[in-house]
Amino acid sequence: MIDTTVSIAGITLKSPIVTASGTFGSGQEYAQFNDLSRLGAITVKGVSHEPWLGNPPPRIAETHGGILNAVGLQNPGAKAFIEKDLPFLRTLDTKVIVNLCGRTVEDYVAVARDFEGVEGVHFFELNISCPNVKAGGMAMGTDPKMAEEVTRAVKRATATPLIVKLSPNVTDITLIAKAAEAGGADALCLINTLLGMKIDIHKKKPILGNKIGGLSGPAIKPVAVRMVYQVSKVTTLPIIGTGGAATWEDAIEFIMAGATAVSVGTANFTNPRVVTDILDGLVAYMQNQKIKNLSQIKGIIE
Amino acid sequence: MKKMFWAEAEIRDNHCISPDIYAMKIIAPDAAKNAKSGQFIMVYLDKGELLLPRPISIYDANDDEIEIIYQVVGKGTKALSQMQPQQEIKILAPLGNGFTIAPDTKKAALVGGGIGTPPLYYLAKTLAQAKISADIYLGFRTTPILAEEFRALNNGEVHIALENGTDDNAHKGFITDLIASQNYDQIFSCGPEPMLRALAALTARTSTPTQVSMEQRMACGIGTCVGCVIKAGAQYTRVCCEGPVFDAKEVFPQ
Ligand SMILES: Cc1cc2nc3c(=O)[nH]c(=O)nc-3n(C[C@H](O)[C@H](O)[C@H](O)COP(=O)(O)OP(=O)(O)OC[C@H]3O[C@@H](n4cnc5c(N)ncnc54)[C@H](O)[C@@H]3O)c2cc1C
Ligand SMILES: Cc1cc2nc3c(=O)[nH]c(=O)nc-3n(C[C@H](O)[C@H](O)[C@H](O)COP(=O)(O)O)c2cc1C
Ligand code: FES
Repeated sequence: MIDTTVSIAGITLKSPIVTASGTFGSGQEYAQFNDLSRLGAITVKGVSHEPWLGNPPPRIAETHGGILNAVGLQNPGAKAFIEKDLPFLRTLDTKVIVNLCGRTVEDYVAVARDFEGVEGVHFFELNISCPNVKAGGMAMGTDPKMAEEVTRAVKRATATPLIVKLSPNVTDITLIAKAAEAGGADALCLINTLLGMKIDIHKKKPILGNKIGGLSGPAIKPVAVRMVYQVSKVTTLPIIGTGGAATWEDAIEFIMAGATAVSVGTANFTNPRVVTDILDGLVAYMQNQKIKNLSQIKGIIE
Repeated sequence: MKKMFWAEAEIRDNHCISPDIYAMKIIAPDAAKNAKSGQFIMVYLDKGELLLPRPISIYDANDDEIEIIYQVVGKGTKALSQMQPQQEIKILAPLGNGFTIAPDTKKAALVGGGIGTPPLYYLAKTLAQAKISADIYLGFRTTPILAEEFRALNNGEVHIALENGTDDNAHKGFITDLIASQNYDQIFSCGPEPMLRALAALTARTSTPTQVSMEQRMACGIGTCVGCVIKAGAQYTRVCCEGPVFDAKEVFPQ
C-alpha cells in the first residue's frame, strides 16, 4: 500500500497536491472537473479585511511558457468570503488554506481576526509577497525585518497554523525564510510570482493596465525549484513548493528539492483537470517505484 | 452554478471563409445542447508555450455540434487555423451568460461589427424560431462576411455598411449611421468597442434596451482568476461570468 499523506504543522493532508491561491477561486468551479476531496488542500484566493477594488484591466498577458497577471488582489473582503465561499468549502473533505493579504501589519492582523470563531479554516497563508500592491505587500516580503514582524503579529493574533508565502523578488530568499521562521511561521510556501512586463510593440504600450505584473507558469519553475532547494537547506519548516508545476514529474521534482507539498496554480488555466492528472501520475509513480511514503524521496538532493 | 462541459472533442470541419477568417465545427453534444446565443467557448491549444485557452463565441449550435468563426490575429488563432478535421481539440463550453430576449420584445435589431458579427448569428436564428422579427445591421472595414447566412434566415432587413468598401449595395460609413433605434424593442450588439460605445450613446437617447457583448483577456474563463474584468460603474466585473453580454448602460454610462 502506498501512502500519499503528508503532514504540515501537525495536520495531515491526504495528498501533497494543493491548489495555489488566486488560481482556483474557492474550488467550486473546479469541482465539476475534479474530485476535490483527493486534494491535500485548497488554497483560496487572497482575502483582505476590507474589499479591494483591484488593478485596472487588462490584467492578464500571455508570455512564452508563462503568464503575467496584475489582478491586484481584487476581493470582496473577509466578511463576504466567510458568507459566500466558506460554506461550500466546509462541505469538502479536504483542508482549507485561507490566503491573507494586507497593506500594513494592522491589515493582516485585522483580517486574521475576522476569522475568529469561524469554522472550516485549517491554515492561514500570509501573502507577504504579492508584487501587485503598491502600498506595502512588496516591501514586507522583501525585507527580513518586516517579514518577521508581520509573521509574529499575525501569529499572536490567531491560533490557526500559519504558512508564510515568500516572494522570489529578493536577492537571498533564505534570509526571508529564516525571518519568517523566527517570527513563528509553522510552514513556508514558495514562490509567489516574479515581477515581469510585456510590451505591445505595435501599440507602443504595456499590455497590462498596471504596466508590470507577476510572472507564473512553467517559465518560472526552475527558479522555484532552486529556491525550494535553497530554503530547505536552512530551515526545518515544511515547504509548499509552488511555481510552474503542471505535471506529476514537476511535483516529484519539487519534492526531491525539499518540498513537503506542491501547489498548482497557472496550470489549472491550461487544463482544468490538471490537479487530478497530477495526482494520478504521482500515485502511479509511487507504485512503479515502490515508494511507500513520500518522505523516502523528500529533499533527497544533497 | 451553470453547467459547463470539458470535452476532448473531434473537429468535424475547419475551413477558410474569407481572408484570415475560419469556420470550425466541433462535435460536442453536451455543450451544444446546453449552448445559448451570446455564450462562448474556451479552446485549448496544447501548444506548449501558449498556455492560455482562447475565448471564441458560439456562432451556431445544434444537437451535436458547436460552430465557431474566428479571425487569425496571433499565434493561437494561427495554430487553430492549421488544425484538421478528425483531430481532437479540448474545449470548455458553454461559458458566460449569453443574450437575454425580453418576454415582450416583438422587434429587435442586431448590430455586428467585423469579427463581432458571428456571435449574433445564433441569436438571429433563435429570434427567427421564436417569430420575433429582427433587422440585421453589419459593419465592416472592407469585406463583409456572413451577409448571405443572415439573409437566408429571412426574418427582417439586412443592412451592410463598409468603411472603405466599394459595394453599391452597402452604405459607405459606419453601421451606426443607419439605425433608427426608436423602432426597436431591444437591440443586441457585438463588435469593436468604439462601435459599441457609439451604439450605446445612440440607443440611450431613445431609451432602447441594449445588450452589448464585451471582450477582455482571459485566463480561466470560469470566474476564478478575476483576470478578465472591465469597468462597470465603480466596480470591476468579470467578462467571463457576469458577461460577456452586459446591459449597455452598465458598461457605457451616459
Ligand atoms: C468572450 C469573447 C468572445 C470572442 N469571440 C471571438 C470570435 O467569435 N471570433 C474571433 O475571431 N475572436 C473572438 N474573440 C477574440 C479572440 O479571443 C482573440 O482574437 C484570440 O484570443 C487571439 O488569440 P491569438 O493567440 O491569436 O492572439 P495573441 O495576440 O497572440 O494572443 C495573446 C493573448 O491575448 C489574448 N487576446 C488577444 N486578443 C484578444 C481579444 N480581442 N480578446 C480577448 N483576448 C485576446 C489571447 O487570448 C492570448 O491569451 C473573443 C474574445 C472574447 C473575450
Ligand atoms: C491570476 C493569479 C492570481 C493570483 N493570486 C494570488 C493571491 O491572491 N495570493 C497569493 O498569495 N498568490 C497569488 N498568486 C500566485 C500563485 O498562488 C502562485 O504562487 C504563482 O502563480 C506561482 O505558481 P504557478 O506557476 O503554479 O501559478 C496568483 C497567481 C495568478 C496567476
Ligand atoms: S477569465 Fe478568469 S475570471 Fe474571467
